[in-house]
Amino acid sequence: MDSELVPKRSKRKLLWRDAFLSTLLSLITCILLSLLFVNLNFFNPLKKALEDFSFLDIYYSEQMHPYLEMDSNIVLINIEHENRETILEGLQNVLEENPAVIGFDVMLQHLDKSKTDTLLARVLNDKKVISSYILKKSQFFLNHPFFVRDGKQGYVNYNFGYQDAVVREFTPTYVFQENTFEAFPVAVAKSYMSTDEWYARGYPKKLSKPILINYKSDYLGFVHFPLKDFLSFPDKKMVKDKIVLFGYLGSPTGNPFDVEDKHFTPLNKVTAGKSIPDMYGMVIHANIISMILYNTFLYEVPLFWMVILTFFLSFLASAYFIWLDTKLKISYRTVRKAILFVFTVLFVWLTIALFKNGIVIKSAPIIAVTLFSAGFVKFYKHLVKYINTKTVFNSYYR
Amino acid sequence: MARILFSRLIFIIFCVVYTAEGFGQESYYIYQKTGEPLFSSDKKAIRGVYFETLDTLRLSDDEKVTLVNQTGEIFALSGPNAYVFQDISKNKVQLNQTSFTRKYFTYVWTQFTNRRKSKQEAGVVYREDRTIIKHFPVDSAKLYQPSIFFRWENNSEADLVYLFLKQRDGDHITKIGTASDSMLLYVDNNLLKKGRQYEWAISLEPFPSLKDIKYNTLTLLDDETFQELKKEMDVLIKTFTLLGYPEAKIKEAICADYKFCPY
Repeated sequence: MDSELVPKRSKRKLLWRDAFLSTLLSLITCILLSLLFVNLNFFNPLKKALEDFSFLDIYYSEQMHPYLEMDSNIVLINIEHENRETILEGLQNVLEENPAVIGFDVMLQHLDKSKTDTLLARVLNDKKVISSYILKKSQFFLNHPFFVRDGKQGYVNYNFGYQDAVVREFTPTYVFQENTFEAFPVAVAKSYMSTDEWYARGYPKKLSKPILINYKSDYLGFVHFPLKDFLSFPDKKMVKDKIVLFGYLGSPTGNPFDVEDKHFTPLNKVTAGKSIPDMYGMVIHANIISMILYNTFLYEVPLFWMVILTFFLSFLASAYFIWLDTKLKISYRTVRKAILFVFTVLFVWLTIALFKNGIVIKSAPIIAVTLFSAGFVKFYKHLVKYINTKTVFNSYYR
Repeated sequence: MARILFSRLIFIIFCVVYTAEGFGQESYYIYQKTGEPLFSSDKKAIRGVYFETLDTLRLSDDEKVTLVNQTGEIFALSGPNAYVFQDISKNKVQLNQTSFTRKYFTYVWTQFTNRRKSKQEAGVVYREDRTIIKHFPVDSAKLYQPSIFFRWENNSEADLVYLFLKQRDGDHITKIGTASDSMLLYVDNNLLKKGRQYEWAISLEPFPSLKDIKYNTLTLLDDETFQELKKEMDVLIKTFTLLGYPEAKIKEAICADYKFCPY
């Protein structure tokens, strides 16, 4: 009995060792190949197509997220192509209703030298109004200086990386020449919340680095009105104590073919390949504000743990397929493909389920590396055979 | 003395509780609407109007109203029915919460079996049937005249066409055959009556599918609504006249943009 157990144990040891070596070699090959992807121009289109892809996008695009009530704390007002006089009237009307804060996601870069502009400048510098500016290559693109006095402002950039990428994360604060600047949605949320709450939630630290956006909805998930409609309301008290954002939501509201101030987000119906942008800038700001207000931040699993998980899964896959290769002679390839398919489907399901609960694991690279390691087993087998022609190398395959 | 004080105390507590309940009560405003719904007080149920506690909302056949409360909950009311304030909370929209796992595996299955509909692109623009072009009254026109001069253009070979006229919330349809491209009908309190909405269409067929023919809507204003609208439009006319536009052009533009065509 014991004599039978010993070879079994040593065989099992050999299996784990082979799996470890195979995984290690596959990962080294993977890294070398990925370097080629980075450096070869030939692969650029492929790289370009894959860099914006995330399996988690199907969570939104296939509407797997729960339908939530409309966020009535944030009211969006679509300025469409209204003139400055109408915008001024809108701002004044909202201010009369005593809102908590107004976010003005509109740039006024030229001055008409009119009475309207004088009044606009006064309104935009009200303590309840937060204006916007763009921060580009350490340069500020502000409203015309006539409108910029001592009012609060926030930059409207989402991030400082690729401009054409899907907006998945945003940079809450940006340090430039030893000064810290706040993003527009951060400035709006900060004005709305009490200072005690802001610090109690640890936001100064939390919002010091780029953060993934937990999208709640497109514009339909927020109370929204075209400016003209809002001005015609006999009673405007729905904006009392609310965050009111002025910006562009298409003309007419939600027009899918209007791409002014529209961006790619994970909510796009097309998860990979060509498509048109899907979300207006103001709605992205609204989603960020909502995330800050309700403290619904996502937890991104750190790179270190991602690497550990990838290695562990690759190791298990290698061990399993080395074992399977010795058991099945004819049907091995078919069974391997079926198992890898089931693994991919279940792993994506698991990562989406975790995402639903606020934990982000980027599944695409983990799956890609694991599948690569599973396929690498055959190369390892040939390598072992080759080494054995030169010298004695104990292996599970022998 | 103590009794008086006690009864006053009871009264104050009652007032406080009642007022607190009043303040705590939900408030709903109209977020979206279909049709021209009215409250019982003839107040128009338009976007942004609050549903007051004593209001009754009357909705006819195709009319719908979506209301939102302060916490963002959505309530949908549809006709034909009349709703009082207390009915709103019973009509909360139930959000579709299908299981995420079920949705995910349905998605995988559709991908796996390639059942997803292929996307077909077509480089084309659509144009409606131009055989009969209805000129007047324009769609959604608001009129205030003793007679309505219906005009259309017949681009077909057929001489005889049929005018179909029906009251919007009624079942009866009047059909008149004619070989001309216009017809004068009087507001005679019989066929046409002030304060009512009508739909009219022209067909080449004497018995067309009444659901498929395209109707123009037409509102015959009552005296009060006309005076209100006229006041607003007179201001517009005056403003644009001062800017140097000819009055006829202004009225034409008002008819095209505001569908107010009583001139």
